[in-house]
Amino acid sequence: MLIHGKAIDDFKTERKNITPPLPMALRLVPILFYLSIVCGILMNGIFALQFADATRARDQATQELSATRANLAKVDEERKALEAEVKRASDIAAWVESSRPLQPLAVNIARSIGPESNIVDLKLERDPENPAQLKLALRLTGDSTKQLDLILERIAAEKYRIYTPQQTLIRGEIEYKATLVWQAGTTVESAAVTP
Amino acid sequence: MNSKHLAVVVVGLLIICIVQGSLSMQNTANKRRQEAEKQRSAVNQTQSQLSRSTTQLNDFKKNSAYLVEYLQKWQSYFNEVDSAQRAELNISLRIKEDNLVSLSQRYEMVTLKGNATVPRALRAYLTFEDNYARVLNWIGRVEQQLPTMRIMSLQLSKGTAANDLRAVIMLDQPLAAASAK
Repeated sequence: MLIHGKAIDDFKTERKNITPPLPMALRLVPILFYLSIVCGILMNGIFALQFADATRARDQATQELSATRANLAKVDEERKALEAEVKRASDIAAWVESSRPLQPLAVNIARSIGPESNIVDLKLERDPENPAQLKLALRLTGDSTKQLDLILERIAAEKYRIYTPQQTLIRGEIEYKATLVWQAGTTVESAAVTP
Repeated sequence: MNSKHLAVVVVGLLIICIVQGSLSMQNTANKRRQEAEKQRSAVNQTQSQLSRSTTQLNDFKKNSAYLVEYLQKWQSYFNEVDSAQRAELNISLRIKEDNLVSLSQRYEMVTLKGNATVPRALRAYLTFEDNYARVLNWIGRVEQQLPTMRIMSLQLSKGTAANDLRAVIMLDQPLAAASAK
């Protein structure tokens, strides 16, 4: 059955509000909602920019850190190589230091012998524990005291210092023992001993 | 509670969600900024360490330059003799060249203590009896021509003839570390 709209309007009675209006404070909620949307978009935009900046800065720092660490490793490697080289140089210097030629010393001792004396036996021996030190053992006959002084002068002239000398007289022979130590600096310090 | 109140609650919840989302975004950005600062701080620390290490290395280079130069000067002489055969040949050839009267020659390999760069050597035990000048000159020449060689012991005594000298020599010829296997 069709009812004309106007006829219905006529039936409509005045109705009182079912729901009372919201208090004033709560009416601000929708406004706050719109404001929060706007602020949220703005703030999130700012935060997103900050995030992007921080990410870029972090990535750049990470790259710099890797490069710096690589350089540091390179420097460390170079230092280790240099330390090894210095150790090798020290070892070689120690060897060379304890390999000073003995012939000049032997020749000088032999040349110092006068016509009245004779060397029965001359022994120059390196200490196995400390090869830079020489052990001198000498047996002399003849006018031995003066001769011995002359020999010691020659040894000193060869830049050796005499330690712990022991002198014994056996049947007209002087037996002399001493430790000789080089006293004119190391081969590294002076360029005197070069190959 | 009517529908309007419900709508207010829903809208309020939406506001809280928006605020929470913004705070979460801020936290993420802050965390990322802290990470960046941490990395920057690590970079600064490493750069400072690099700078210190570089300075120390340069000082070390400067202080050890004379040792490195010394090593360069001597290394080739140590590398020259790389085998026991070569070391033995070097010595025996020089004895033959000078035609020295050799009473005995004996060679053996020895391990040297306390020197990692020169770990092994060929030890020669030589006994000569010849003219005084020839023996001493030979010793001098060998010491000059083989600068890395070390005479461990030299014993000189009178020989049987008037001008003769008897020399008992023990010498070490170091071998290059590569051959010391």
